[in-house]
Amino acid sequence: MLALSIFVAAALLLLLYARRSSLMNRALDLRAVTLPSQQVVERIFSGTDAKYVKKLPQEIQARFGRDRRTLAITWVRQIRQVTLSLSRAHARSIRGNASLELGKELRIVLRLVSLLVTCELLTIVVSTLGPVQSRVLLRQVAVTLRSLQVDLQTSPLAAYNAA
Amino acid sequence: MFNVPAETAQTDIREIADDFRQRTLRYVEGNLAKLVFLTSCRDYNSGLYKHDGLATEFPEYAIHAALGLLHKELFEETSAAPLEQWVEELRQYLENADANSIRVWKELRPYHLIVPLDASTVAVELVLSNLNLALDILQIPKTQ
Repeated sequence: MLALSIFVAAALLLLLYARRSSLMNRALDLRAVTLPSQQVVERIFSGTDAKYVKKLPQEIQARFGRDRRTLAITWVRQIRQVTLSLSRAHARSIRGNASLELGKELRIVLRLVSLLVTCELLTIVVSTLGPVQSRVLLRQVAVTLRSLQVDLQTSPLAAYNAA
Repeated sequence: MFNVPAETAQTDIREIADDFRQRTLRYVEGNLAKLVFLTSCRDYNSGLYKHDGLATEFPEYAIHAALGLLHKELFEETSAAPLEQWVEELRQYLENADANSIRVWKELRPYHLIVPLDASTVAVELVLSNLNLALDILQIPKTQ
């Protein structure tokens, strides 16, 4: 039993590592990703359209559900890519910087990690329950993104980008 | 693409775009029809926007920049519209077109062209999905 648990844990770790490496390789340059407007994201996760298609034939409902799931997951992937690019850019900007605030750096790292974890969770919930049922996690992503933006505005990354 | 001269102020482009919106685009009914109209001003291969009427008053690079700006703005304004609105837009647009239009739109998918350059992939996919669904919704027999 123990051996089986270790095997499963190792397999999961390997899977996560492989996924992480492939994501790192695929991660885009920040400038290469054009994120959609907030209104577009809200439309994808909104219940209004889902309510409208409920009156329509099953086939249309099914296609609508598939399309919206795909769109939501594409958006989550973009956010994940942007987060990874931000992490790398931030790491580059703080390298060799003597005037770092440890507390603030820790907060930024925690927010970046929290964002990545929320994105993973969001992907799972969107795939299983659909975008409309994932709105709580969507709000969590929005809140973390806003806090991260505030932290990064006064971080060495802002000065690094300005230079 | 044009090399827009450095002295061309963004305000000039803005003025041409606003003027075109007021004098021409507002007479085109419906956002979908407006997007189709702006797309028709764009060359398929080069992506350059051209307009004979504007060409008598403004240089080519300014027309391209102004119509490109308008196209992008209109697409952004429209992309988050509810599916029901897309169905109405499409119904209104196809009412004025050929009786065979729905079949042609379904087969050739000309609506893929209404996308401006550099638009967000997610916004583009949302619009295309909505239009594709709207085409199917319009084909549902009225008794259902």
